[in-house]
Amino acid sequence: MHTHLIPDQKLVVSYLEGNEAALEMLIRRYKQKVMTSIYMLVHDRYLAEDIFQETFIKVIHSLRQGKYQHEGKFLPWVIRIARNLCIDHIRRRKKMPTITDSEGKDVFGYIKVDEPNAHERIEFNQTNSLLLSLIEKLPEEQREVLILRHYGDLSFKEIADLTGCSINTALGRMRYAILNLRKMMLFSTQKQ
Amino acid sequence: MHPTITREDLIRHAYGETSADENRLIALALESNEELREFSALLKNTTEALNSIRMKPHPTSVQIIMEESQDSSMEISN
Repeated sequence: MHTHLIPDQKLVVSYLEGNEAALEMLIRRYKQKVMTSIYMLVHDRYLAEDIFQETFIKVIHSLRQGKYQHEGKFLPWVIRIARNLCIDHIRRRKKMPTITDSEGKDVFGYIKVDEPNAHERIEFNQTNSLLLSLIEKLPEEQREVLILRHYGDLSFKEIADLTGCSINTALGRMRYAILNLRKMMLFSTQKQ
Repeated sequence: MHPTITREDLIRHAYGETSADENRLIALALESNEELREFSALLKNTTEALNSIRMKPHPTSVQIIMEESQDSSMEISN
């Protein structure tokens, strides 16, 4: 079945009429972009998984409460919700006291969590892995614009509105993100 | 004289945010400006590389969301 031919809005309406499969189609359609965006914002796989769930649960409740006004922009709407949740988590994490051992190391760093099907969840090769680590090193404002535009499908105008800057600033941040990525990529390949 | 095309214009173009008129001006500028061509190539390589990064949520996450949806749907109908 060519599920991608069904517009998002039709799936939203169908879901609100009781068709659970329509929601599943929307999730399937956007899960990679949403998960990638969240991971790149929080840099933590387990937290990203939690925020992914929270995001879509919030999407469900907002849809049922009639809070979603469709303007052909389902993914950017979901990404805005995800971004707000990421910010909440980051703020909360910053407030949490760190428990350290006698050498000053974070004790939670010792805890190992079982990681099921890691390879299924990230399509990794060496280049991807390098690129991901370089994106993490970008200044926060540049990284955010890059994620929101590339994965979240927000326009530069929407990014400017969301982050409280001008369109030119958002565009400038994107330009620096691209140039910085190239610079870091060249530097890391020269080192090897 | 054509208005100056900037790197920011190329970025908007790459993400489909330019008008048909701007697209024509960008095509002309790329023909004559090597610096812009280089940036355009960098932009293309970068977006392709970004496209190759795809993270998937664990299937359990999708299952939890679907269960929540069914539960909340039952709450509404009760």
